Amino acid sequence: MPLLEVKDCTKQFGGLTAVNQFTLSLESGEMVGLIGPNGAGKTTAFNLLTGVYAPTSGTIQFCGSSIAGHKPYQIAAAGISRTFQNIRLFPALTVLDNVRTATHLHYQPSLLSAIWRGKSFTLAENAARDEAMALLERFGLGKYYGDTAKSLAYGEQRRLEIARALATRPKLLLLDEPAAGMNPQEKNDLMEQIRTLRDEFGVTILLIEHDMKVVMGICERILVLDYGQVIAQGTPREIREDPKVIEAYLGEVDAGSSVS
Amino acid sequence: MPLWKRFGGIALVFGLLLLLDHLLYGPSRVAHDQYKEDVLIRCGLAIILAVSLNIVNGFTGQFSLGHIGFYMVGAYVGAALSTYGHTHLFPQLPTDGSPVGLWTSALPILAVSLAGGLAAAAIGFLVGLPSLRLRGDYLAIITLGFAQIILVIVRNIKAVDGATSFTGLPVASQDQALAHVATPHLTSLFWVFLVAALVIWVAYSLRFSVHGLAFLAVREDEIAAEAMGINTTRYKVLAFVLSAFFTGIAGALFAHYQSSLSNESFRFERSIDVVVMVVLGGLGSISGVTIAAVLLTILPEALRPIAQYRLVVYPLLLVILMLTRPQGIFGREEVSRAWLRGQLTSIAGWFSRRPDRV
Repeated sequence: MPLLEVKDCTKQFGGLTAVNQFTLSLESGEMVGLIGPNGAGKTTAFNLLTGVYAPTSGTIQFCGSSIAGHKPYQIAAAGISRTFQNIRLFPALTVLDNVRTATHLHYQPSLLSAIWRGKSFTLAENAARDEAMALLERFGLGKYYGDTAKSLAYGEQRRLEIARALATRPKLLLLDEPAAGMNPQEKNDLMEQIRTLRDEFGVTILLIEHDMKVVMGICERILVLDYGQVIAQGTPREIREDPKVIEAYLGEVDAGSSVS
Repeated sequence: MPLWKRFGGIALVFGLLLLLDHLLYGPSRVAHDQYKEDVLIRCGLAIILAVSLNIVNGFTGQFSLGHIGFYMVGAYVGAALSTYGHTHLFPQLPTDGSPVGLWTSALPILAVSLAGGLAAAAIGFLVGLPSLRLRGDYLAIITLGFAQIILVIVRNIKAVDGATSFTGLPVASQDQALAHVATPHLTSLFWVFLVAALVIWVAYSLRFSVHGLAFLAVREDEIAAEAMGINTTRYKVLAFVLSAFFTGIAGALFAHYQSSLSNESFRFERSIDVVVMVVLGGLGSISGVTIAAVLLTILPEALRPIAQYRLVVYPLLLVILMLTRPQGIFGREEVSRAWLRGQLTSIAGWFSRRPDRV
């Protein structure tokens, strides 16, 4: 049984069809890239998967049960976590608290025991803190744990978002342009980190990325979206040679990459 | 936290409050200095109101202007329970509103506080569920309207003399043709500050737990909070209900401190007073809000010597404070060991500076 199965998902905003008949099947442990020109509907697809929008039509099955139209927090509880294209941290909270907040899903004590502060509460709090600290160390953010999230540099904020997403202990991790705005060196480091994430945390990863080199480098399978429709899917090599993709996308990126 | 530390802390708070209560009232249970008692009790009530409003406005970042409505519900429900329920529930209490011994007042005050608090919490739930879909200015307007509705409803309830002022009930009894049951004078310094300590403790323990982080995450970024598995609606309503509960208790305490209850005490401006305390103390900072509540209650009293000019000086001081510390007295800091250490180091640094470098 596939981990995630999306069938003919469509999302319309009034007259605009942002995602049209989107179909996707993810096996557990895969690393899949979702690419496409600006405005192709990639982020909308993510928003459908995470419950920000309910699909106009179509089905989304995760671990064998339907999640279409569920609330984002329910989908997070089911095991899908994400990062955002335009970073959405909790800016005034500390780096540690950002990650601790995301341990909420596995946090047992009730509100009353938080007020009573008994032994089980202290244990749960310490466990949450240790888990958050370990994730921060994993992403090289341990030394900033007491700083506010907004004081971090851009690349560090991106890494913190991934750490926070992992703190919900997801089965499926959706990364929305994790390398956006990074310099080539940072990009390479991040990609290396993402590559090892999968084995270390046992997550399946679906990522949106603009940088073709990055996507082709780490993904085993790539889907190409254009005007809300999947126009091609396959291995990086197949995608690179697909005439439809070259027409819709790669030409544009080639022009862009020659600039960079 | 080890058990002895917790019980030690509770015993310490009880001891201190009992001592304070004894110093003020003595065995006669009548305050030596009524003015001092009045200011202290108003300080305590202000702390309860401000810290509980801070749970909504400071923690979850929602903006309620209607908490005076919950205060009013708590006050009238509490007063109605102690007067209408007098013969059945509290026959041991005096009917003339004379002071009650501390331990005699314990059970009745628990009952009226819980009644007032629960009634306010129930109304908070009813109001919060639909209106917390809105935020910012819209929520402020809705809560403001709600406070007005409560005011108008209470004004029209004859049973509690809502239109004039509620001083108690005329009751037919056997020996007298018409007796009068006044609202019992249950509230003393001890109870007010006990509740204040409780609400500060609850706010602190929420703030420094993963639960509290969920409240703060709602304030910081709702979409991200939802994506991290936080049911934001649940936490917003929870904050609203919790805050209404403590505000209602404050109302019940207030009702049993005054000899008469007038709807004049629950005008919209009182809501603003509390909002000012929260903003001035630092949205979200429990220590800051507590200090601001005391400060803003005492300040008008301290300015009494300058008579009519205080109405000019007081707002001016507020403006100056807001201009110099727009983030509030404490910003988002809390008084903690680390904070004290930081303050001490900066003071020490001030003194250890070498004169030739200045």
